[in-house]
This record gives sequence, structure tokens and C-alpha cells, in this order.
Amino acid sequence: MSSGPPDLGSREAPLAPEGDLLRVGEQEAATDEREASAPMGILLVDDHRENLIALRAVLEPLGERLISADSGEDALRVLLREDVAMILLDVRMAGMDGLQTARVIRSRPRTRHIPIIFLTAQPSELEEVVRAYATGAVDYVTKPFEPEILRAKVSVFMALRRERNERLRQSRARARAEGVARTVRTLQILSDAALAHLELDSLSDELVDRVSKLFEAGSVALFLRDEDTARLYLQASHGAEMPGAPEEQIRLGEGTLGRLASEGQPILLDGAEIAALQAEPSEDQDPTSTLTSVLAVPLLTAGQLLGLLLVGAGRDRQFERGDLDLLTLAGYRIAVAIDHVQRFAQGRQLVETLQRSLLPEHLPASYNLQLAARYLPSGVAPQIGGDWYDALALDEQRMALMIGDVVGHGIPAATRMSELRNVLRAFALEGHSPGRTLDLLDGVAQATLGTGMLATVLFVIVDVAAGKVTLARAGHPPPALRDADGEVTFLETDRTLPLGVGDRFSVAEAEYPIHPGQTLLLFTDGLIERRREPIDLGLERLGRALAEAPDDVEKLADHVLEQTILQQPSDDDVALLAVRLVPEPVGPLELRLPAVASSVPLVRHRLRSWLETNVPELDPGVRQDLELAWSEACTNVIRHAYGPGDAIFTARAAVEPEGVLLEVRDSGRWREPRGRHGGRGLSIIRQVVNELRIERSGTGTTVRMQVLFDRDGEPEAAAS
Amino acid sequence: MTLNQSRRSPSRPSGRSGLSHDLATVDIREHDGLTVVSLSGEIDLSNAHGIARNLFELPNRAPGMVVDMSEVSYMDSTGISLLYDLSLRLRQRSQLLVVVCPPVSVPRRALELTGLHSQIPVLDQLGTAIAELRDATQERPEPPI
Repeated sequence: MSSGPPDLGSREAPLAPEGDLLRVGEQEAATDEREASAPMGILLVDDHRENLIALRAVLEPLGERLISADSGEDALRVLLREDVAMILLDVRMAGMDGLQTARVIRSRPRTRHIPIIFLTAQPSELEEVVRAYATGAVDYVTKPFEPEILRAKVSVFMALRRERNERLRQSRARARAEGVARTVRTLQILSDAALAHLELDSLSDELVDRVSKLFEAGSVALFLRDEDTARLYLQASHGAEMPGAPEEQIRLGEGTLGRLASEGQPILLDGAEIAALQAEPSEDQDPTSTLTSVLAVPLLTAGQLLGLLLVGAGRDRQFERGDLDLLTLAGYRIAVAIDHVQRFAQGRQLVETLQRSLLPEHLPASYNLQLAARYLPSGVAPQIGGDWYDALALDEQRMALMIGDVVGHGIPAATRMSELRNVLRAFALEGHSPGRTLDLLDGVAQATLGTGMLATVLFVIVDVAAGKVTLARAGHPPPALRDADGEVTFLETDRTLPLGVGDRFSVAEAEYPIHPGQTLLLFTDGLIERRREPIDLGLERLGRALAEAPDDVEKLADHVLEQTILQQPSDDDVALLAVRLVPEPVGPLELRLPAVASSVPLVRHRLRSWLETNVPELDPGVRQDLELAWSEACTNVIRHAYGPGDAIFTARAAVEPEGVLLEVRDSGRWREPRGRHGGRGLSIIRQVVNELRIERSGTGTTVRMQVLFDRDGEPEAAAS
Repeated sequence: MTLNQSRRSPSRPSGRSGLSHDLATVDIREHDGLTVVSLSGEIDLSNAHGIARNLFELPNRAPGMVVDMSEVSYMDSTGISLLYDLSLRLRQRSQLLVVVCPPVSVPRRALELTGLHSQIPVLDQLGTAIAELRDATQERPEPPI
């Protein structure tokens, strides 16, 4: 039924890079483990082979890896390719001597910290040198050496070396762990589910803010691609101005940033490259925004460039390769989040426009009907539903009311809804009965609704003049009718199927009397259906709400929603359409109408509803006769009007103590009824009224008729 | 308030196809060789002419016609004129006309007030009317072969 908000965390996010980063960490940790227990290299340097052999024999029991070199030059070559833990170095050698060799070793960063034990026959010539180095990692052994002492000394150095390596390993592991934790935390913070509910502007601001905190950045700028153009515009920024984008927009392929974006590769810009950026034409460069390094990460989804994220380090920070890797990973998440929100926003905007176009802006106005409608989107899924309502004045007296529900949500449902609504309007305007209209609509629905698309519809024609509603429904809940005294009933028809079910069927039609003061409520099932609740409970809740609701339809609609939806929130969207038959005013009825045939039923129906309000206990026989007399008098006026549509006549009814007084007045001349039609009409009037007077004057003719409430024995007297 | 008890059932079954004249519908069918016209709704100046045209233009070769007004909720002198004109037309064709309407109804009252009930047979029920009319038409002498 609903797809819910987009999940920013899981979809489309490329997992491989994250996995790689974590795996690299694992490999480093494993290397450390191996190193901790593995033998370390000891480099033995002496230009006398026999000395080398002797040294090997002494040190062999330590179990370390012994590497021999027979000159200073050879030692330096070995050090280029081998990692060694310490060096035993003969001082007196041909060519490069020990002291020179040691100097070179100390001058190279990679070998600077390797402890050296000098082997010498003349300790005095070395003491000064050893003190000069003063690193503690240098010692000497005099030749001829005591094997035990040499072995012990080397052993101590190796133990120290191992301890140092262990500390290094631990700190690397800690740093790595922290790095992984930072990665995970960063990604979590940037793909926080809470961001999914933000609109693009809020999301961008929030992301930029979070990135600046996570990367301790002095400056963050998020550029997004203008749809289908070659421009990136500044969507959000934080901190100091980013160099190279002075106009807050970047043209793809132009300038350093433009080329970066086109190439789609993350890059770490150092000070020199930033300086180059700043050297590019820029009018309002902020001189304080000196950035030491900038991370530039293109935002991509499905290979499409979505934008560019620039993160600049402040003065007291220097970005490294690891920061770029992390921001690259973060960039995937950010791109996904923005992409989702953009798509969602587009879809939502389209859908909202569609929805607005589907629901009537104004309900038709009518002197005898008050209409109010409400539409509430689903409380769960923030998107359009398939509910709609519509109202259409067929003529002065008849109003077509339509409400329906296309199963589903979103644009497909809204589109179907739009089709059905327009077709339904067309059939309604053609004057088909509700049952026939839905038969025709079902034909259209089966031809056009996609497979699996269902729709329910309720179609009602309220005929105020005839005092009846005619309705037909296709799988839709029946409307509720509220009497003036608050009693609520549901106007049933025979059970029907939704539109588009498959088998053609003939829609049952039903007719009910309806009176002024009553209110008809059309609604969709969202108003009554709740998960895990029998439908009867929903109907009862609606019945109670409607019974207690105020008379005014607007207030009534609010009250009903308040007592149903707000008490028991619905998963579905809800539409309702309330129609109140306005009671005739208390007091005399005065009508001014054109002298045309269609005015005859109108005046009769107005009289009928006026009588219901003003003389509620009227005897049905008296009521019939009042209608007859009134219709006959009006018919006579209209028959003898001067020309079609020109003339106006007035009709007036008033309650008197003894009975009802009816007056019909034309603006011209009353013709003496003649011919068989007029004769019959006047004959009827004479028989049904207690008193008839026809008054002619210069301005027109007035027919005045009185019917008594108690007519016992009167007709004879009246029929003269 | 008990909702289930107060659910209303339709006052008139549907599925009746017919010609609509805003306030009234005209349904015409054959029954036992007779033409049965069922009128419903309200008949007055606004629609009497249209209804009359439906009835007068009917290709009607049946020996008789029943006009059932059981479902007519309002009728005044224009409806009476319609029935009177129809009876004249049918008489010219040697066809019989019977009108059906309940004893207490607006059409009956209009028929009585205008005295037309003494010129056209008016019966209470459709079944009776059809039976009477069938008998009457069968009683008529067959032309000699």
C-alpha cells in the first residue's frame, strides 16, 4: 500500500570501498602479529671473513636472522633492501670504514634509529664518537670479544628493539581501530535515518554541518549539479569561503574545480595546488581563507555526477590520504541521500500538483445545498493517495456527488484517479442515472485501468426538488444520512464490486427520500477502516461523530474528522464530502421566477420543503392539495406569459392561524382560463382550496388561495 | 441509535431502464400482447409534453394499452390533459386504454377532481388492469374470415 520514506542507509551505497578500507586494516594488523614473533635481522659487517664466521657462531643461539656484509658499501646495499633490527659494525675496514658507514646509516631516515654496536680493538678511539651520537642505541664491543658478553649485549638490544616494535604495533593498531571507528561513525552520522525526512535544503545544511565537525574542517562547500546543465551551484556551505568558486557556481570542465568534477575522481589538494586555485580570477577572495589542504570529492550516483563536495582543512590541520579515503566513502552516502531526497521531492511535487488538480477548487454553490469537503493524506506515508471527491450541479435542483478511491498510492493511483474522475464527470453531465453511469464507468475502467488496479466509486444524485437521492456504488462504503434530529442511517444498495474487477456487472441503484435539514455524508474507507478492528466499530464511531456534529457542514466535516481520524489515526488517506439540505426559512416563502415551464416543479418543491419546515404536522392530504393548487395557478400564469423567458412571476406562501395562504401574481394580465387545459386547472383549484380570489389591477393579476388546516365539510363551500 | 436496525433499504428496485424526463421516467414494454406503459415520478407542465411525444409516437399495434401510474408521485391538470389526448388518439385506432393508480394517490385525486375517471377506466392494480384489458380485447368480435 505504501512505500514509505526513502531509506538512505542501505540502497545503492557501494559497499566495496568500505570493505576494502576495513580489509586493509586487517592486513596491517596481521603483519604486525607476524613481526612480533618473527626473527629480526642483525647485520654483521666486517671485512674479515673469519671474524664474520666467529660472530655468526656467537650469535646463532639467539635465533635471529643473521645477515653478513664484508664492507661498508656492502652493508649500505643490504640496508637498502633489508629491514634489520641492529647492526654490528667493525670500525677498521678497507674502503669505507665503520665510522663513515655509521654516518651514512644515520643520515638516512629509514635506518636512522637502528642500533649499532661497534666492534673495535681500540675502545679509546671510539668513546668520543659513541658519546657524540648519545642516542643510547649505540655501543661498542672490544676485540677480541668475550662471546658471552657480546651475546648478552646483543640480546639486550634485541629485547629493547622488540619492546619498541610492540609499542609501535600497539599504537598502530590503536590508530587503525580509531580509524575504522571513525569511518563507521562518520558513515553513520552522514547516513542517519533522521536525514531521510528532511527536504533538500535542510538536508544539505545538515550534511555540510556534520561533515565540518567530522573532518574538523575550516570550510565545507557542497555544490549540486543543476539538472541537465553543465553547471554546479553552491547548495550549502560552512566556514570560510572555498577558493576557486567565486561566483558560487562551477562550470563543468572549466577551471580546476570544473575539471575535477568532470573527471569524477576524489583528490587531495595541497597548499601549492590551493594557491593555484586562488591565483585563478577571483574578485572577492577572502584573504583569511588560507587553507592548507582541500579534499575534493565528486558526488556520484549510478555513474552520474550529482555534485561536488569540497572540504578545506583549517590552519592547524593538514588533511592526509586517509581523510580523502574517508570523505570518498562519505561522499557515496551523501550522494545517495541527496539523490533520494531530490527524487522524492520531484515525485512529491508532481503528485501534490496532480492531487490539487484532481480535487475541485470550489464546490458548486446552491441556494438549497451546503457542501463541504475534506481531504487528508495518509498519516503514515507522506504521499498522495487514490481518494477523490467531486461535485457537479446538473441543473438548478440536482447535484451530482462523486467520491472514489483508486487502490494504491503515488502517481499511478493519482493518474488513474484523474482519468476516472473526468470520465465520471462526462457521464454524469450526459444525464445518465447513477447506476447506468457506473455501468459505463466500469466499461471504461476495464479498458483503461492497468491489471491489478481497482477503484471504488460512489455516485449520488441529490434531487432537492423531488426530495430524493438516487445512488449507486461500486464497492464503495454507503453514504451516511443524518436526520435533523441527529439520527444517522447508512443508505445501502445491493452489494456491488469495485470497478475493474473483471466481470461486467450491472450496478444496483437505490433511491431514498431526503428532506431539508438532513445531511448526507459521502466518505472513503480511510474514515472507518482501522487495522485490527472490525469495520462495524469504524461505522459506529462515524455514526456517533455524525450524530453529535454541528449543523453547519464545515463544522460538521471538522467534527467528524476530529472524532474519527484524530482519535484513531488511519493508515490510509481520507476524503469526505458533506451535503446539507438547507431547511426552508421560517416565515413566508417568496419566490420570483421566470415564467417558463421548468419553474413549475421548482415552485412546487420549494413549497413542499417550506411546508415541512413551517407546518411540520400538516395533513398529507392538505399538503397534496396545496401543491396542486399552487402548481395549477403557476401553470396558468406561465401558459399565458407574454413570451418565453421574458416574464417574471412571483409566488408567495404564508402560514395563517387557520391555514395556509398562497398567492401567485403575474406582472401582466391574468387571462381567464379557457380551453380544456385552463378549464381543468381552474377546476382543480376551485375544488381543492377553501377560498379563491382573483384580483386584477393595472400592474398585474393576483391569484389568492387559502387552504384551511381543518377542512371538514369545507370543500363543498369552496367549490362554487 | 442502533445503526444496523436503522439501515434503510431502497424504496424502489433499480435496473429499470427507461426514458428520463427529468422528474419522470417512462417505461414501455409488451405484456400478453398489450402495451404496458409505466410512468414514475412527477408529471407537470415541465415534462408532460415530452412524455406525450413518447407515447404518441409509439408504433403501437396492440389492441390495448395500460398506463400504470402507481409510481407517479405528482400529477396535475397537464397530466390529465395528456391522458385525455392519449385516450382520444387510441380511440381513433380502436385501441383501449386503462389507467392504473392506487385509490389514495395524487394521480387518482387529479383524475377524480377533473372527472376523467368517468371517461377512462381507472383500476387500482396493474395485474387486474392487464387481465381486464386482455379479456376485453379478446371479447371483441374477430373479423370474419
